Amino acid sequence: MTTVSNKQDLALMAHLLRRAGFGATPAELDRAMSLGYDAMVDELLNPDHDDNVPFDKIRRWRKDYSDLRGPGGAPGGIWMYRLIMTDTPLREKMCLFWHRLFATGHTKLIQGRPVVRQIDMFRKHGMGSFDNILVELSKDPAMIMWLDNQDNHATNINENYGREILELFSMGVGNYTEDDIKETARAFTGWSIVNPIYNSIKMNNNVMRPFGYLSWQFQYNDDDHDHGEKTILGETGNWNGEDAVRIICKNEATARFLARHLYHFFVADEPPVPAWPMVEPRDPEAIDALVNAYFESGHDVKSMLETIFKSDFFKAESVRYARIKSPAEMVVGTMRLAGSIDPLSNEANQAVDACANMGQSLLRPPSVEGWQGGTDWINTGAYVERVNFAGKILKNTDKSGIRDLINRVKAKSTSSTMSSDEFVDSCLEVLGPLEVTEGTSRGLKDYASKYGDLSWSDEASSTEFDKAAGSILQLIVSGHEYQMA
Amino acid sequence: MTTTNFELNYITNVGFSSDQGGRSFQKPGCFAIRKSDGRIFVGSRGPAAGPNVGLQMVSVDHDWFGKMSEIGRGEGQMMEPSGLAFDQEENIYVADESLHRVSVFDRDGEFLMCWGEQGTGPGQFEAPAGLLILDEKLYVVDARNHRIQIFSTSGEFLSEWGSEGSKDGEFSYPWGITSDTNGDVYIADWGNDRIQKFTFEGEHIASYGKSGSGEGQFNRPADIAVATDGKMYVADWGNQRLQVLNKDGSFITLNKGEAVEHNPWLVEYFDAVQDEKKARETFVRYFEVDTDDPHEISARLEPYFWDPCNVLLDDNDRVYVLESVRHRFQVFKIN
Repeated sequence: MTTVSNKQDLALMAHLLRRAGFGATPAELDRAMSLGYDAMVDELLNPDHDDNVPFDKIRRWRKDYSDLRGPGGAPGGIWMYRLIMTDTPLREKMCLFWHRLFATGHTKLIQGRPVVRQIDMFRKHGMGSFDNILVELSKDPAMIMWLDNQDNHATNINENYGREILELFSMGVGNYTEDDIKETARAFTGWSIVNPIYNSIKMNNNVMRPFGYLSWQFQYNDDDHDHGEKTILGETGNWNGEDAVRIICKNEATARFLARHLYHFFVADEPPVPAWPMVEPRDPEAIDALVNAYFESGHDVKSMLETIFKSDFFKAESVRYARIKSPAEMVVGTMRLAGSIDPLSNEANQAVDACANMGQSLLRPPSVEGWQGGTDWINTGAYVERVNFAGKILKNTDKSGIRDLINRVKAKSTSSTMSSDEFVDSCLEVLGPLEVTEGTSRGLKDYASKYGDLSWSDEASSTEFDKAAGSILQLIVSGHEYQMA
Repeated sequence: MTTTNFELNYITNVGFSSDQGGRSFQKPGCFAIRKSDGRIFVGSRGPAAGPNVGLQMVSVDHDWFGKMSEIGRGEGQMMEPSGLAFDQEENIYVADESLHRVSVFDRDGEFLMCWGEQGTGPGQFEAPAGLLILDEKLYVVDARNHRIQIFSTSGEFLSEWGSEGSKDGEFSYPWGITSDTNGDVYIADWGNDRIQKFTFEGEHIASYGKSGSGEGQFNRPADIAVATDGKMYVADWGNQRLQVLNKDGSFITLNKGEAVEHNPWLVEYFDAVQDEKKARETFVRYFEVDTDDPHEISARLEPYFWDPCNVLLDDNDRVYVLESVRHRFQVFKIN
């Protein structure tokens, strides 16, 4: 018997898995419930194995994936395959988080491989110390070329990276001066890549000639580093890039900026980032709690995530279904519900294209400011894309995940029949469980009433049942509730 | 058995990457040498809709003789050429891993016939790969069906052997195939990280190598060529290197690629694109890499093999290694 208590537990667990992952299949939810909430959080925070991605087969038979040069869909496709297939979803979710915050695109770089490698870096370091993440980001070849730090020389500084690391990546507008930007840029002089001149011209001319892609590697050139004294955020010394990061990361503005980004991504939509200096956080106490976690843990991102997922402000019913799913969350979650994909097929590339049509072109953010999220995700065209995509995937009753959903709907009944009302309730339950308004529920049941009582006692009725299930699942995911996380 | 005084000396490289078609290869998947004139046919796979798809015809001296066939699914066209072989009349047989079929062209490039479709039955393929013609029979490595199929040169199915597994005579996604002067057959058993040797009728004779990156070990070997003295030259694809083994499988030497000079196609290109030529003057080919992933190392160091997928020997003691992601082949002299 389903008690009120375990129904609430189930809803909370589903909320966790939507936010810390991409939603859950019924089997994943069953397993999580058997583990318990806190143990599930711990598992999500501590992935103990690498994803099993058959890179050898992919490289052999997907020539578009073999060098990941792009700039077509393949670089995004290799990440999308992992997003759909991973059993360590929070680690991938954090890759999406950092990709949104440290937005780097192969629109300028012309090649997808360095951005894929940047995502690999997020996967490796993304739940560690923020200081380390910023140092790794500063050494990341894609970021160096994206913000022109290969042109940041001791004798002639380029301020791009110095500006963005303060404004967009760590502190936010209003917490530093123009002098801090210049001095930070000086600290990062000499942080470049191997063969900067030749690789820059290959990038600028968009050529694979003569021998295809050359993967970029970080290189620190001490001769090109400004060894003079610098003053960054009030601290003076002969600072290098690591020192600049250390000074930035011990600043409270950095903790607050990161806390608000994490809240925005995992808890509830905040206004667009440019408005943050003028608009108070939605939940100042939650931000305070995350700032404390940041300092008490030595700037550890995992500790901040644990604070979120085990907090009352995260568990509150008021924040459930309060975030609009990003296109990537919507597409990946839907694909995961439908079951595994073939790495040699075009399914991952098609999912990347679907995301792009909804407004989020993975590895190709619109600018260095990334995507703002929230209500920016939804307009008429994007909503139609979402509905069409989810409907197309979930009506395919041949997919293993959809078959499992249908079998679980059938298993809700002790006989081989169920009323149309029970049928709708069961479909909603296996899809999350998905909570919908009374109006939505009534509409679905009115629609399903045309089927009368549904049966699967013989092959013909079972086929009809499957068709009805496909239609109702399609109808459910076209509703606004499915667009919310 | 030990071999002394064996050397592989780099001679040159042939190839060039361009998505514009013309004198270039794109993601080449196979190559073969026509004995009568030494002309080298390179199966260029191109981007999905590119003009490069087909068989580029070149010489070791950097001559370019044009391209045979074109992208498409019709008869005489190809999508992803993955295996090549010549018969006695120098008709050329082409496996296509995307179309799951074998096509045959005459010496002048005229289309003669094709057969095969996707499937698991006799005469059907799942990603056909290496081809070998032996005693007027065509051996087709049927990679994702983990078997070898044998046909008459007119396409009549004769027999098959092999199934998925790791025991003697079983395969895991086999790729390249060749024979020695005795008529024994060698197959690069890709997923099992070994070379298997068979009689021409498919009786297992020996296996060489095991998984690893050490000497005599393999990481997804793609292809093999066997010299008249029995030495085996293996394209060790996952380890990004060529390995040379004695007849008994003992290790002789390895090479990771040495393409440092500008072949004439490059020289002409850089003469026409002065800003790249000037920037190329600053180009450092070798540097200390900060990764131990062979695929990524080869992505950074241009002289190295990057995904060496095919290996050939000619009658002049030269060994050729085709690199699918560097869009070229490198040539070495055996001394």
